Amino acid sequence: MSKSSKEKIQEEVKLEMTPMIDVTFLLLIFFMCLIKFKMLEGKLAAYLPKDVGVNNTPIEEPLEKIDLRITVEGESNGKDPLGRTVGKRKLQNVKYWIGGSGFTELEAFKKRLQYIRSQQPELKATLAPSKEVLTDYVVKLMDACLAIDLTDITFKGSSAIR
Amino acid sequence: MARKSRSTASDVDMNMTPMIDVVFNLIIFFMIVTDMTQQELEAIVLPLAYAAVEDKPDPNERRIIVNVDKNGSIKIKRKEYFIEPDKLPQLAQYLRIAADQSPKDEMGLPEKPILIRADQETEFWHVQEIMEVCGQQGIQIWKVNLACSQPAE
Repeated sequence: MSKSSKEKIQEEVKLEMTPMIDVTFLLLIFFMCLIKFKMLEGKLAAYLPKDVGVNNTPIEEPLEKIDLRITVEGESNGKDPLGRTVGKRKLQNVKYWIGGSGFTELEAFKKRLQYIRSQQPELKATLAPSKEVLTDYVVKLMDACLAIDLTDITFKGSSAIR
Repeated sequence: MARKSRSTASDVDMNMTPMIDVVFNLIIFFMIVTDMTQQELEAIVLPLAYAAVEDKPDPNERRIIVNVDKNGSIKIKRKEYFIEPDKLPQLAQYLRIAADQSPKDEMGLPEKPILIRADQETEFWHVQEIMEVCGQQGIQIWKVNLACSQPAE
């Protein structure tokens, strides 16, 4: 009796889709969340002058120091250096300065800096971007410094910039 | 007919599927929630840098993160420090406490860097202001990390 009823049940077995759909949705949600949080984020290290504030710490003046500046020459036409139009992003025409010589192209700036660095391996950079320049360009400049292995980057005290 | 239904009822066992579903849901929920609490990161467009070092924070490390959006509003731990004219004093107060709690190096200055997450369209003087506050007496955080996104491979 019990055998026949078991057979009957087995005949009625169908593939249960609900748990599979449940699990699929779960996996979908899980990976959606994961992708959002796994956005690659990096950081660029820099330093502030230690001799600011009242508790002045005597610092050793590095022998080979170079002043890097960025100035804004005007609003840009909305194209990036490669000529692509960059949506609604705010852009500027900037000039990168090494001491007294200015460069409008970051590549030229980088080449010059690389040359100076090859002459002075102990080179340290002091950054003094002008007030209205966008952070993007400051990071680009730091990126250029790091690309040529110039890792000792200090930001100039703001009183020196104004 | 009545017999058959009785026999099926006898070999019914507990359906585990919904329970497992719920457990998975809870696990995922808590994973997301804990991630949120650790991050303190606002959704801003970071500038792109090729030389950026990948940011792998120690989950136990309490680091100072300052978010600056493109209008210069400062956000720390979802709290907005933007109400002028008290914006910078409030920030200074926060950083002073944070610097106090931070481990010190041999010169007595905070050892841990501050992470400044500025939007790529933020005018640099907003960041400069934060750096100025960092340099104030009693804070003197002199290590700065600028957050940036790494270009996709």
